Amino acid sequence: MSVADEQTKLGSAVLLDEAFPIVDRRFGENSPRVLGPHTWLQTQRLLIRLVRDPMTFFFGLVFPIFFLVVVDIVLGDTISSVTGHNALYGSVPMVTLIGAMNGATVGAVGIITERSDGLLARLWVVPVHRASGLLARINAEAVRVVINSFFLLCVGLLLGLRFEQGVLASLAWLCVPVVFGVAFASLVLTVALYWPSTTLVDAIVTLNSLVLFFCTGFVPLDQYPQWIQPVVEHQPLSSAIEAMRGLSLGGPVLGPALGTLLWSGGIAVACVIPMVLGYRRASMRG
Amino acid sequence: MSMGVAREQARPATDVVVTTALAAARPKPSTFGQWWILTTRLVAPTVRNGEVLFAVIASVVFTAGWFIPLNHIMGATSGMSSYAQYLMPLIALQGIAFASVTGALRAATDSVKGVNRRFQSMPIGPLTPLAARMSAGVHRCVVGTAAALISGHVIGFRFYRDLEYTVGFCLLLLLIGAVLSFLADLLGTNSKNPEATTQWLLLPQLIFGLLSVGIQPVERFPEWTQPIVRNQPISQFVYALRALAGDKTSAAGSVTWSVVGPSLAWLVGAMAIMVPLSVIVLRRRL
Amino acid sequence: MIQVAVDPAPTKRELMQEKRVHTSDNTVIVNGIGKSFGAVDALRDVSLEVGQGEVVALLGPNGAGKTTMVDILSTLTRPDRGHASIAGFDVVSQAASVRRSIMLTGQQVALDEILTGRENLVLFGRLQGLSKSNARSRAEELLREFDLVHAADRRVGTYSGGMRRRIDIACGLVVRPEVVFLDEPTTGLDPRSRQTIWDLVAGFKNLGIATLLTTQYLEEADALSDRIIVIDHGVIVAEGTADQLKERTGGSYCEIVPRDLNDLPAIADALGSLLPEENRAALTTTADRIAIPAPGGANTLVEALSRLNTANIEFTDIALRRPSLDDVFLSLTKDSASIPVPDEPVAGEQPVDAPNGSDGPKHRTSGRGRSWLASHSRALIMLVTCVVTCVNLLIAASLVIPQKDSRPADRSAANTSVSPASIRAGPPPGSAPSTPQLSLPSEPLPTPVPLVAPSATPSATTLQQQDFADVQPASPPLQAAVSAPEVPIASPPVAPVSTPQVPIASPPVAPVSTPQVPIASPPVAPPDPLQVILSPLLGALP
Repeated sequence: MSVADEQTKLGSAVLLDEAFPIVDRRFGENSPRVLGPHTWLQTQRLLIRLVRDPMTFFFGLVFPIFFLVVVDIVLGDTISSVTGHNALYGSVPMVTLIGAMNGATVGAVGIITERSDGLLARLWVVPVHRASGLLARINAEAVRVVINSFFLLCVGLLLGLRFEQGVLASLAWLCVPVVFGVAFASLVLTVALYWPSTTLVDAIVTLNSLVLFFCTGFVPLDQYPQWIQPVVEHQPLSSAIEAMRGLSLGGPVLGPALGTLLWSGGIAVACVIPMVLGYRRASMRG
Repeated sequence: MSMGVAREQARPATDVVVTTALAAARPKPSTFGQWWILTTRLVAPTVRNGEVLFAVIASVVFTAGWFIPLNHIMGATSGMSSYAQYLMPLIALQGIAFASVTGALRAATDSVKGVNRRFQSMPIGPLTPLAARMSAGVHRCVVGTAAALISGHVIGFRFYRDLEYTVGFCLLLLLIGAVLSFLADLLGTNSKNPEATTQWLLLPQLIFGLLSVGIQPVERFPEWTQPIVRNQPISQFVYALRALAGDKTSAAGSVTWSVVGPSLAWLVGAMAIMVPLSVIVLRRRL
Repeated sequence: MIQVAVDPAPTKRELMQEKRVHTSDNTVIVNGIGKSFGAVDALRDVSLEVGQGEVVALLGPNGAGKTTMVDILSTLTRPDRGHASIAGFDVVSQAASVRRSIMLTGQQVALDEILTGRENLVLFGRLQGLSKSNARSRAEELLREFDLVHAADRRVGTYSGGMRRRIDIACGLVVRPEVVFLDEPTTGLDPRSRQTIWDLVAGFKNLGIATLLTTQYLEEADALSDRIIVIDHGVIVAEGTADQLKERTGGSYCEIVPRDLNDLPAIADALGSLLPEENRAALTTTADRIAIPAPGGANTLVEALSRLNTANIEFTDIALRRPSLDDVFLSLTKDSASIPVPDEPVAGEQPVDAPNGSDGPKHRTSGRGRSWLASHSRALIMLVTCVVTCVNLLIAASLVIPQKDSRPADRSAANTSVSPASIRAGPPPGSAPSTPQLSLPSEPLPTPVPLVAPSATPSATTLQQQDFADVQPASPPLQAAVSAPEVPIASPPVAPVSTPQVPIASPPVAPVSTPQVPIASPPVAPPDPLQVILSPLLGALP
């Protein structure tokens, strides 16, 4: 809508020397004092992106809630009669963890598109702490998992889940999916950095379904055939579910919690170096 | 490049070539030839890029995932000679549903990328692309059925009736697949985001699949859900397929019109609604 | 004037504390840079300099090395050889300071499409170091100046091409850069938007900002730049102002178009010495004009005009022409036999596997790790499928291994195996009374045993019923013990054996059916073949 002569002066006001703001450059680019603020800044950007993508809600809330309700209808009574307590103690943790795991695909797709669009390169050229980009991604995943788990916990409470172990245990219950979700998200991010393909989402969802079927939250451990019980018992999802079950219902917590920490820590440690190298390589060109 | 129509599109290096090429008489395209080329265009890449493989893997994953955990806990109450015999129809239907969903993705991608608009402007019959998509869908369903049958065989499913009933089983399956493909195609053509569509279509699969008699008998469901479970189309399909497959026990039921009829009624009813809808959609946005 | 509230308020010079490498006036100094990607040399010994307030255009066909040069100068790539410095800071050792001094924009880098225009501006402002309020007010200013206020709260993904370029450049101007890299800034824009960008570049000049412009539009390079550097196959083939380059290619010439084509020979005679021999010889019968070299520029034109007037020849056009930069470009890059074509489509449209950039083939070799996985992904999937198929086959094979006799421990376990399930089957709501009977067939003992004798049925049944009572309390562990044998083997072995018996066993017996159950009762429950196979691995025999 601008008239021709206005357009010819476009930007002229901002190109006066006085118009440019002065920047505080006292701290070096990689100084620890700026790591926090820079990371939080980029985390905010990623959170806005997550909120604006409907798939976040689908994977994180819609699918888990439907799955929880349907599994409760179909298997709930059977499992209660077999185990003696409410099936929700197993299925709510399972669904929370699956929501966290499937939701990580949104961030993975995000980093793949940002890389092909050139946004990663642009963010590399900006004078922020070199580690803040990657840390922001992990941070955003953690925030997403916390909020997600909280909502799914509320749904569980609505359906009849009750905490027998007190408030502290309930808070700890929320921490388990965060630990696990962050480890899984870092794995997914690492894979996305080395295999930037859109079929990644399908592969991850299928893998998650496989893991879902063979965990103790789906069907009690002793219902599985003998030969597969060790696998089911020790897989990372089962450890986390058992820890959460112990924290809500009662029963062993230390063992499964240690298992969860070992799995999560192991995955995270294994992913750190490839992730850092991959992120650098994805941002820079050559 | 032109699809199905052998239109000359030579890049003339000299004027002579141009004159000769453009002056030649236009070949007459045959509808059958166009349909065949469009179908192979849809089918060939799926073999090359691993979609077929993925369908097989997904089928195996879901077979193992439903059978192994639930065999013990459900097997007792299924009423048939083995849980594998009981579960098979659902496994087969899941393979078919998976095939339909990937078909929806294909339809959506074509629509979004504007390939359909291009076909519209070429001398291709208006129904030919749709027919080609249906044929490709049937091909996918055949692959899905084969994968399901193999998986079923591995877990112990067998055909107990004569050959004609076995053929009837497969035919019913393909018929269901064709109708589901049509439905998924219709949904896919209307969507703007193919990847999201595929994931969202997981939900109905989950709900209809689990809340049916495919997993456990009607009596095991809570009272308030039993009418829904018993009368929903998937349950009717499962009853019909079980009857056609037969069983050592008489629990599979006999092949009578009361068992198979409702399935056919659902299929016919679905087509009766969808065909006019698709005509409207075809006209509006191909 | 916007100032960050820092206490005490330092000046701009004080804030830039790092020591500079060069002290010359030139903002961009490139010295002998070389870069290779695998076997391909993207850049070979390139040296150039850009002074303050100078606009330099980098011209070159696709794959020439322009993008690599910009990547190196913006710290996105490290050079293999040579040095480069921006505003006195070395691009390798002082990369952080380089990043504070540059603005990078164009086709190769992008904005966040999901965020709105305003959010993008605020984001880049804060990333550059402004405080939140400063960034906001600066964003408002920029939106006003770039005429984007009406679209400020829409996602950048919905912007038109011209708007996208404007917001792109605006995001780079939140703080003052020393060097601006413009990568194909006006590709695909309408003339009005293009003029806008050109005016901006003129503004950079006034501010003393050095601009390095990459473009395929030769007229743009001609109009905007002080100097043009032509780069091809990684080396600089020519450097100079547009005029200098044109002179180098051929210089000006004077073109005469006669009113009557038959006058051409007469014109040639009239021009006399002005028309060199080779031009005269080059005149064909189909020529419609004559061109003579014009070393004197306008003077040659006047001379030719007067000679033609003396000869009284009418003509429709006489003009002084210069070779276009197209000619310059084509002649300088003739050897590569490439025609300047537009760069590959906008980055977002590229397939994910291929990195964006005009130096396409070279970049592909650089992503070796990634492309290996991608190219071998199908092989990996096949491997996984083979493993899955083998597992399937293993299970299937286990079904046909003839059953051995059971061990005593298994037998007792097998005995009670049926019951727990049936007992559990009882309580679940809505289960039909027939369930207890039905439960039995579901756990046919894994006995392919070619046993027959439906005769034992009644006793077997009673035996089962007795077992029901016994086993009740101990259900869970028992089922665990027994579950293994049932699962993989359950039906198949039973089926073949049972078929002949089914007619015999029909209705009442059918549930318990498999007359094998009675057979099974005494011993039975042969070890699960699958377990036999897997036990050495798992050590998990019940």
